[in-house]
Amino acid sequence: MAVRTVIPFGPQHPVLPEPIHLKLELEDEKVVGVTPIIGYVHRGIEKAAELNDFRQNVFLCERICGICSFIHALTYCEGTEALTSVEVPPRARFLRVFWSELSRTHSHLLWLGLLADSMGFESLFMQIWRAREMILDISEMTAGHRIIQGTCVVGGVRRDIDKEMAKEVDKRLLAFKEMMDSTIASVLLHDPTIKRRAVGKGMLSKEQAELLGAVGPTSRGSGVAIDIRQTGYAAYKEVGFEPVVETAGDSYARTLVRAREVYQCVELMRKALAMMPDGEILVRVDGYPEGETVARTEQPRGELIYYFRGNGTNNLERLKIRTPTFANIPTLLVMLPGCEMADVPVITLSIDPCIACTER
Amino acid sequence: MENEILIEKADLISAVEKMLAEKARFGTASCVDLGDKFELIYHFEPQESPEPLTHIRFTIDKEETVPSISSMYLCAALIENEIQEHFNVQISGIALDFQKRFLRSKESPEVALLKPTPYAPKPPARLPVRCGEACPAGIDIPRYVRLIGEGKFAESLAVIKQAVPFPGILGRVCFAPCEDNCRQAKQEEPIAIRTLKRFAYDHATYEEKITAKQTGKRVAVIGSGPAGLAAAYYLARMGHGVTIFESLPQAGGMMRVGIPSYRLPRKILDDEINMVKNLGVEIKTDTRVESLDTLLKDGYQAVLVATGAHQGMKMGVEGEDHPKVMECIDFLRDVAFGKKVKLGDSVVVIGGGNAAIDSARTALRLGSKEVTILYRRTRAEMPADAEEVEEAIKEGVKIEFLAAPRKVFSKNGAIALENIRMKLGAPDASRRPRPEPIEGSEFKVDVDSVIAAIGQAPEVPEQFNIEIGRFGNVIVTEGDTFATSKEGIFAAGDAVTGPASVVEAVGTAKKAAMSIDVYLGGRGVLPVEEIKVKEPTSRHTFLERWQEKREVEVSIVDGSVSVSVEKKRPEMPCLPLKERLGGFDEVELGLTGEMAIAEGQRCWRCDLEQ
Repeated sequence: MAVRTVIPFGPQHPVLPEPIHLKLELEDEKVVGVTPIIGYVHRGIEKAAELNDFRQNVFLCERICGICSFIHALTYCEGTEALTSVEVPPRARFLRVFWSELSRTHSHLLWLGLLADSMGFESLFMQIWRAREMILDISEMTAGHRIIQGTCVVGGVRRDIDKEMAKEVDKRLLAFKEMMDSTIASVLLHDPTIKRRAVGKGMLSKEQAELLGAVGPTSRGSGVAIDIRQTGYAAYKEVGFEPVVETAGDSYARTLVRAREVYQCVELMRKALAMMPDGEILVRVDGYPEGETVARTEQPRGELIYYFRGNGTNNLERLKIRTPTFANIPTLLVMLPGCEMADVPVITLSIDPCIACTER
Repeated sequence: MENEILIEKADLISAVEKMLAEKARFGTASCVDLGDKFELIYHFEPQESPEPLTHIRFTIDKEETVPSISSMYLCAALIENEIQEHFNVQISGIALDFQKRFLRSKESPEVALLKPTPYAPKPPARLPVRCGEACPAGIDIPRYVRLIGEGKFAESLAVIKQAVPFPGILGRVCFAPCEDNCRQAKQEEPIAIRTLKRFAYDHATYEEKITAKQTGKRVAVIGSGPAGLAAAYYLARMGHGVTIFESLPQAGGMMRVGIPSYRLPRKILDDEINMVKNLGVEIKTDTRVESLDTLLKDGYQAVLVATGAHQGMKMGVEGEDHPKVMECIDFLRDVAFGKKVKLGDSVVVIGGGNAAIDSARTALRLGSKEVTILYRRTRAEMPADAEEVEEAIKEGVKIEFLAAPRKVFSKNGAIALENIRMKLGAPDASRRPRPEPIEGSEFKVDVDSVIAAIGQAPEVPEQFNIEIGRFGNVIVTEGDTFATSKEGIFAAGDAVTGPASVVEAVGTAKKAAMSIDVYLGGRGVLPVEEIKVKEPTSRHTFLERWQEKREVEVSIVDGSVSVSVEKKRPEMPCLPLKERLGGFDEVELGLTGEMAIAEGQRCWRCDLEQ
């Protein structure tokens, strides 16, 4: 007779940088049920956005998440620009793509490092985060800040990347790629320890992913080719984009999706910088947001939806944010049951949970 | 917005069904507070991904309930839950169990995703306490003492009855190992735990509820003493049919024949025995069991031997076979059954235990003028209850310490006793100083009769054919199962432990009964009734403990009483001395309600965490 126990996983747990509470029901060592509970870091950002000047909200939105901050700002700007009928200069759109992909790169690297850490693979963790430092250096060089860049504003971007800097960035990106190739990719692809911990663990079939509304690498790891970058926001249409898809549906597939996306990001950044036309980077925004719109972008974790409602004043009437982790949490209900207790950290991590995003 | 579908609330389900048919993906839902109304917008992504979103929107009144779409798009459950939480829009039928397609369990409530579990202070933990751990029968002592202190007598009695069958008897004759272990004893006086038990029995009633299903199994119990009756009680509560065989004409065992009625009134004993009978236990008196095998053949699946320790021990002195020298067990039994016993004026009782004190006090009540107890050690080493010794001295019993009999002389019908003075030497195996005779200190006394009360031993019939230990003539049993060497035969009480006390007999009977239940295919768990009552959840503060006297207002069934709690035990009201010796009326009269409440309030409640 198996012993049934309920074990709390989180809200404070070594592998979880942010508080989510999973109530795990175990039969001996096997997970048979899971109840995710969130609500530990709700900050009321949607309400705060209604009280701020709509231009200030860019910086508020940027602080929703500490990892994909630029893309939050970008999404907000896309929406308000639509409501104020502002045409963003083309150079600014390419710069936005560049910084989006820079965000995504360091977010994926952060996650790959955490995954290695959760498996107890300390050296790989250190190595990946060392590579991430190279990306953060580029961020600091181009935007003046390692993570919360503050470059995106309504009407364009605040900083330009001149030719010389673009050359330097290109050089550094190639060096980064070289480092990925030589030290990290081979381990991720061939190391038996990683495969043991990830292959076949946390299965999510294509049907389940669709049914549960999974987004981002979580769904792409299960063969669902959804990537909002395909809609061609910012300059993705010009840069050209094909989603990265894996079909296995396990933790390893999701790892591979992210690892391959890191390479894709480097290519997208280099392309964006190369294709970037000359011209203005910021236009004046005179109007006030009026009407309703929805802006969608692809965050490192998946689709991000902003719903805007303006009434022609300086303040938005309603700003609603649906973050990707919010859509991905239900997948844990299918991934975790059946796995061993020891696999819970890796599987939970495999959706790249960003709880601060989720709760806003 | 582009691609809007404006609908009424009633059309929501059909509109979403259309989306489902078109294989659209659910994005999210937004709720907007319009002041007097809410607007709900459901965002869908058409199958062809690059196309813009489709929005289904409608307005509702603030009090309106919206049907959940989670049965079609189960990922919508989260956002619906969030809208419910943030806007207080009622959404009916949110199902996180995902159309029962996935695992669902008791622990996973339907909607728990947004809310952290509400903070519930954990119930105060109960700590193991010395008084409770000292009780062989495992009574929840601190709780019943506390409940009496709160004036909740019936609940208190119910707490006691969950663990032991005879609060009335134990409340009078238990020698209360709990009181010796009371923490308060070190600073003040121990809580009068036994007396409070008696108080609960005297002032409240408890109705037995048998919840266990009848198992149809039959158990024979040999002996109707405390162990036999208690085991029968426990077995009956666990649903077994029990028959008790008693060789004497009345049930009760040592409680009837060993304990004089001034300590344990016969009415109490009869009431308690009737209580056991009312549970469906059959008691066959005047029936001596000759063979265990016959019982097993008669359809009893298990047998419990609880024959007690009724064999008086010999003093081992010259001339003790004289008819005027009697065993205290025989003496007390004869008195209990109303036989005429001629003692004469001067009686010597030999021994220092409770049986000696009982014999001496009984002798006084039978009309003896001069009763002397001869004990070979000093008062500090006497195994008898200190209170009993005190009462005996009050009644006029003389105690000769450091003296032991040497020889019994027969002199024209009367007898003379040659005694010798003792001195205390090095401690022996019982950790008491060993008495050593002082040569040349012999002295002679003329007496009319001698009662030897130096101990008893079990007497197990040989035809039972079970293994007997080498020391003390006790039945050999296996650990906590109390199983004897023979299949299906168990033993409990003095027959196993050697002469002990009522509460120890009850304690072994309890364990043996559980073990028999397991043997008969049960789980060995006594059905207990959960006693729900409001009671204090914290200890007394240090301030309260230090106060010499404090006034406490306690509400009881009819109104409330104000008692003053002092740092000493209440003095037990007793029968006046001159009224005692005329008969066998109960000496201790029991506490009054106020005394009991004050005593219950005095308890420090060591079992509570805070």
